[in-house]
Amino acid sequence: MEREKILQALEEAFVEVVDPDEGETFAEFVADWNYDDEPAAAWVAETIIGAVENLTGRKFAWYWEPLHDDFNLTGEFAFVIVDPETRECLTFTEDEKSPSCAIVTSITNIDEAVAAVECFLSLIEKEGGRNEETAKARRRILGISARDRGQ
Amino acid sequence: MEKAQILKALVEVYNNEFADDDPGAEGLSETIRQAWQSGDIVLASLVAEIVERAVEFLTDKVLLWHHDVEFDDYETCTPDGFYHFIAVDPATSRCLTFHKETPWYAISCRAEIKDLGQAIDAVAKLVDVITTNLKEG
Repeated sequence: MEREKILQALEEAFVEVVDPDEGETFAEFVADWNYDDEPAAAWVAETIIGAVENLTGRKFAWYWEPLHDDFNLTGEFAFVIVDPETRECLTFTEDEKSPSCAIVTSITNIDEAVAAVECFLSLIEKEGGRNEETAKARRRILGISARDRGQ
Repeated sequence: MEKAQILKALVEVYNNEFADDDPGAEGLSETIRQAWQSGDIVLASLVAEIVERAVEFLTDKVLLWHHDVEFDDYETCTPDGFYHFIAVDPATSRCLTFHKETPWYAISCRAEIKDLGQAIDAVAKLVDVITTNLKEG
């Protein structure tokens, strides 16, 4: 997806989620958010989520947490995404050495925010593609044509 | 699931995997109490792992877990006795702690664990949600 489209989706989601001061952009906010500040971490995460859902036109089940060292938030977040229809964990990785159900990503500037959205969109797209393939195979096996489905 | 059965699983897991000298229920109770009162993140994570292993023991499933220890605030990073647990079946990649929660869906189960009784309740809740998801699978 084009970077411009993602940037626009982030700015729109930021307005929906945070209701910022007039003229404040997400690009400025994400570059300046204070790593001690829990509400700011929530605004960053919720803006990312809002952008992904607006761009896909779908709602997902999300879990996120800001990561921290001994004293501060690090600017990294762990995200878990589940498709509410299939209950599949879209952030599951099968790495044999360290399988995980969460994706960890740093979000401390607008480029990292765009990269996070791109990453989540690709995970969602992969699942959607797989479902469509399964649906096609099922239709083929059952002999259901597009016309039978009223298309 | 009966509380006695869950307690037995917790103690079994604690004795076999996390402690020396067979400390039993008393030792486990002390560990859980200390994890909350000392505000020690390492001890709190240990409690989370004991709960996870007990759930696996009772469901006879090996699961992929993600847990989060909640804090009072991020400056002191002092655990406040609340935990989030997410379990995924590695064979199917399905989220087994997925459940309907007003107003939308939740992925994680949140539990307060400050004493042994609450640890038992947390395991019971997780076993219930996971078993329901497995049946619906």
